[in-house]
Amino acid sequence: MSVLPAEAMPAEVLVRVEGLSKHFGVKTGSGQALLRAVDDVSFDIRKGETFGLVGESGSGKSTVARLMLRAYRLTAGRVLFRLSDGTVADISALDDRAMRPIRREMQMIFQDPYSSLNPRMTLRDLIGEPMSVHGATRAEIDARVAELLACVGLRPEYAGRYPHAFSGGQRQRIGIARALALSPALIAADEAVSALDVSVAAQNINLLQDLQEQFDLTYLFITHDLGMVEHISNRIAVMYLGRIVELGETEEIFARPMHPYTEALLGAVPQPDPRKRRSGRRQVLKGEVPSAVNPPSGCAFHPRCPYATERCAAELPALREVGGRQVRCHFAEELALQGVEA
Amino acid sequence: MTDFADSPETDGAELYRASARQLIWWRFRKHRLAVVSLVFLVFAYLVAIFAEFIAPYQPGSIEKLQTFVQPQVVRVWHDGGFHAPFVYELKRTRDPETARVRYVEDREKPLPVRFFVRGERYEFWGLWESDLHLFGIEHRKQKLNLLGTDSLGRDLFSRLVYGARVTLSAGLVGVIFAFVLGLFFGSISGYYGGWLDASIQRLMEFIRSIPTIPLWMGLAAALPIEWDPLFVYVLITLILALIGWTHLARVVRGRFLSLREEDYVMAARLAGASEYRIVTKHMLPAMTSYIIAAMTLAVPEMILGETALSFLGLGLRPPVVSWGVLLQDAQNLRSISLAPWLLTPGVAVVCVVLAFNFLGDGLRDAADPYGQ
Ligand SMILES: Nc1ncnc2c1ncn2[C@@H]1O[C@H](COP(=O)(O)OP(=O)(O)OP(=O)(O)O)[C@@H](O)[C@H]1O
Ligand SMILES: [Mg+2]
Repeated sequence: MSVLPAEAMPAEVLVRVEGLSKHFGVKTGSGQALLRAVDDVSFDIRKGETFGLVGESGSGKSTVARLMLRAYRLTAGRVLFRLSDGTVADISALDDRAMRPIRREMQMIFQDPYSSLNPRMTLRDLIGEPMSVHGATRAEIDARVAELLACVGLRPEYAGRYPHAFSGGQRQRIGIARALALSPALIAADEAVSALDVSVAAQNINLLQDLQEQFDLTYLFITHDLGMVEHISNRIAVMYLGRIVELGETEEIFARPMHPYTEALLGAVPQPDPRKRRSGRRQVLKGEVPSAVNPPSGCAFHPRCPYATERCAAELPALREVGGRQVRCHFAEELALQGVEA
Repeated sequence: MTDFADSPETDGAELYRASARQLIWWRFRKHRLAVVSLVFLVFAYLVAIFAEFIAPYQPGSIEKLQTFVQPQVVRVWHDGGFHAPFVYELKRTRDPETARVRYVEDREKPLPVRFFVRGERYEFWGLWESDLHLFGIEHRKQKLNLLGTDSLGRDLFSRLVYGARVTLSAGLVGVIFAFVLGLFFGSISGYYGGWLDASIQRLMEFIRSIPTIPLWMGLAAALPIEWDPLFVYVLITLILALIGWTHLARVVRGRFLSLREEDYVMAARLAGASEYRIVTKHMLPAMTSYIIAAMTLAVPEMILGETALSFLGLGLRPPVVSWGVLLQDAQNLRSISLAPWLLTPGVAVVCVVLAFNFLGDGLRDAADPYGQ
């Protein structure tokens, strides 16, 4: 395992991904093809923040999270992680055995509250599994499971029950308790509330925020719904077809998006307060997400972009710094895009 | 979620604490036909296990003067009143026109059927000797032939009971062997994927394309005739299994492929669980019920295989008694017209095969208690 000095990245950074890429070989009608699920993605997640990752279905958000937690092998790139002892580890090349001790520090909450809990295990075994894998005793596990159940608002007596006894929202809390079991520093919440009703989702988001404060957690919060991240993310990255198209502070992005794709996503966010209605036109996404196997030339968003020019079809824009933000658009400075008024 | 509302156990916490096994059992119980089949099969296997005790006679004991006796009817009504079960004594006569032997009931001489009678000596599983039988009649010459006798005067009921032992276990031995092979190849194929999966798939396709009957005829010709028929029988089941495992391997592979994508498997991996733990704690338990269902459905195939091969003279041979061997006795037209009761082993095969199929269907339906 390659341990880097603590200075390898700024002190406030918990995870840094550099040039992350994942290509899948997929079968198509005419044979094998390469699917670029994630292409050259770089960002930092700072300690204690909530980093939002937004994009339509198929943009590669889950794949980024899984690469970061090393559930998949990287095609290219590096993942640097600051361990609890302050050292920085390059986890991109570690094998399963070397990853095991590091897994305590990073956990995941899954989208589907049904398929993410083994129906054949009791809550005690489900929540206790990470601990028993890392060598805790029975008594330790029992005590910790009771504590965790209380933390997520479930009765400790439920430890002997099976997941089928619980509703979707409760199951999601069980998943949260499991993610907390080893006191990780980083939790990747992959569409953690997308499958739930609005009110249950809101409750669980509040729970996640409370837990963040209580346990000093850092979140990678993945969602396809920009409206969801507005209140909980400090910074967000917007992904389109495997690439980051815009990355910056949440407030700034909401106030003035610089990428037409971000503008379109914001246009789809329902605005409950009538006084804050957007003035003027509202961009709506037209068309379908193109296939990642055969992406459009130049800027991948150009076929759906209302501002596209010939240049967009020919030339892939670089991810550039514009006003303290990263944008992947040739016309980031010129376009005056529509945000959401705060 | 599945609706368990009509299970009696659904009140409150009991359902919430119900393990997968209990949920499967509750669902299985609702499948009447499968439950009846299960009871029937348990009964059939008990009969096979206690064959020596249940059969009134030895399968090979010949009675020259009682050939082709028709099935005897056990009666309770005699001389205007109820009696304990009895049969009438048979009188051997000849048909004056066809000169064929006939057996006529002598209505004057009832022979009571007794339970726990002393009769022919036998060795129970070769362990100890006894002469106690579940039922029988006490008579010097007359025998109790519930299903009639064959051309050598052997009691068909006794032969059927002894044959059950061979036929029903032929299925099990073969299936267990096929199970080991299928589980092994199916799991590595489904778990590792890639070229290993591809080559195992090709191998399975090849095996499934082998025409079995010519293979059998070749083997039957190749195996020395003087070998112990029971040894040949074990060989048969093993070779049947060499072909039969592909079915189970396919089931196991499919389950592995779909389970590999389950989020809870990913969660275990992210928790740092080893491959071994993931396979044994998360993947295999999720497929045991499927495996049991697939095995249950494979047993009747093995039974039919044994029956068919023995019937064709390629499998078991006398003096081994199996249902296939018994059916071979019923092979010619003469015996079918003269002694149609010789076909009862065929009925037994149909019943057992159907019961296994119903049971397998019921298990398969109950297998996934969390399915939609
Ligand atoms: N194991 C895999 N094998 C092949 N292709 C994959 C695999 N995992 C993901 N993909 C493909 O990679 C692309 C990105 O998938 P990913 O699941 O990361 O998207 P996502 O942004 O999380 O979408 P969603 O909102 O639907 O979850 C998709 O086109 C998907 O089909
Ligand atoms: Mg996803």
